[in-house]
Amino acid sequence: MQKTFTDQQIFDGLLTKTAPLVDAIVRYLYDQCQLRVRRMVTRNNGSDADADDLFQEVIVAFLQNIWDGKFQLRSTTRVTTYIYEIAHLMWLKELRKRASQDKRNERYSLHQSQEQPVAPNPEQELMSEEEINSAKTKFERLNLKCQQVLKAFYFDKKSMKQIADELGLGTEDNAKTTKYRCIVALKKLMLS
Amino acid sequence: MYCGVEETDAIMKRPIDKQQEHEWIEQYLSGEMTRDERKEVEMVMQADADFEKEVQLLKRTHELMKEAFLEQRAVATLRQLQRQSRQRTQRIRLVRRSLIGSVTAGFMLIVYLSVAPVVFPDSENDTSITHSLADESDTMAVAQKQVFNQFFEGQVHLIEGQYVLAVKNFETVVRTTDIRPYFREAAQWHLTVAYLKSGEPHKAERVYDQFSQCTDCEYPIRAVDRWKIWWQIKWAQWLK
Repeated sequence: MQKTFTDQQIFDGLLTKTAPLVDAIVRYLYDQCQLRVRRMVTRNNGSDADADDLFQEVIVAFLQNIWDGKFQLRSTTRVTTYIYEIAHLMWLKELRKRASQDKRNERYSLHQSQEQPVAPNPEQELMSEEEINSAKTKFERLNLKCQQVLKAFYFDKKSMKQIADELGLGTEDNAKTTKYRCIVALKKLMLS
Repeated sequence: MYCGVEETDAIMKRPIDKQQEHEWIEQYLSGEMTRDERKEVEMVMQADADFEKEVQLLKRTHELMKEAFLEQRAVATLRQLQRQSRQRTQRIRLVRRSLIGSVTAGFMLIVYLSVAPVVFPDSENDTSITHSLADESDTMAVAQKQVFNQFFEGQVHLIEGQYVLAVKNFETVVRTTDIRPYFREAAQWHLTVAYLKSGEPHKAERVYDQFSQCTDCEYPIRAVDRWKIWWQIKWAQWLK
């Protein structure tokens, strides 16, 4: 049976960064928001596949906002409403991007622009950045081998010997050196 | 390899080698050090601002990796849920299409059974009905010829839509005792349709029921025409 969460439990649960709890919250948010987001996208020139992609991006953005402290619980806004707002704005942005290549969606974009209030709300402020620079985006700039080594060591808690064997890195020392080089590369990415 | 001043105890000093220094910081960040070892790292941090920055950067890097792994896992979970949802939707669509197809096919069948006319074998050229006319020329044959005439008149009345007259013709044929079973069956089937068309479905049903359990019937009426008659009787009874 689907576990349910209050907004406070979602907020606190995500801050623990515990994998099973984050996973359960993500499933709950999917259950609560996916249908509404899908309807919004498919009614505004998007396909089911667009809706699925958008929802993944929205949840990543939401997680990142929680961890970066950009989202704070407020009595006036529910978490699901906040997620829907992010989805709405991200889809609007996507449509504008498409409209610049293809004028077909211009009408919807203009219509939506006219509906926006003059003063930006907190959701708009966070979305006004060029794009949400998620940890995932940064991490995925590393080459695949580095991603595998770091994930195996830091997330799956595998030993260096096991990592060397599974990823074909030869000796344990080779695996350690690879891991070190990957960390250095990631640090550079963070500073760039 | 270490730049420690003295090695009087087992406390690991700051390594000179960068990779080893990195591992030393990781041990500190992961809480794998003793209190004295932690104190040593913190002393170096206080003394060397660059080293402190390095520790903070690695700490942030660890946090970023954890967040990235959780976000990747979240996306994987969402993809799995979306795939399951798509499969569920496809199954629902398949069932819905099958149901619509079955209902449409059923409806078409009902329309066909209701509207399509019953087709009897061509009696004019059916030697099973007419051959005895040619063989005999006495008074018996004359009587039979009158019966055949009643039968063929009944068929004409059916075609012309004069169903009451058709009923009379076929009833006359059926009442005749000295006719072969094949011809009697042909007349009874025609009488069933005549009753049905003249608005007497109950009488039609009575005649039809005589054939429902028939195992040695000779008149070759097709199964689909039997269904048409049965359905049209039931439909007419329901409408009454």
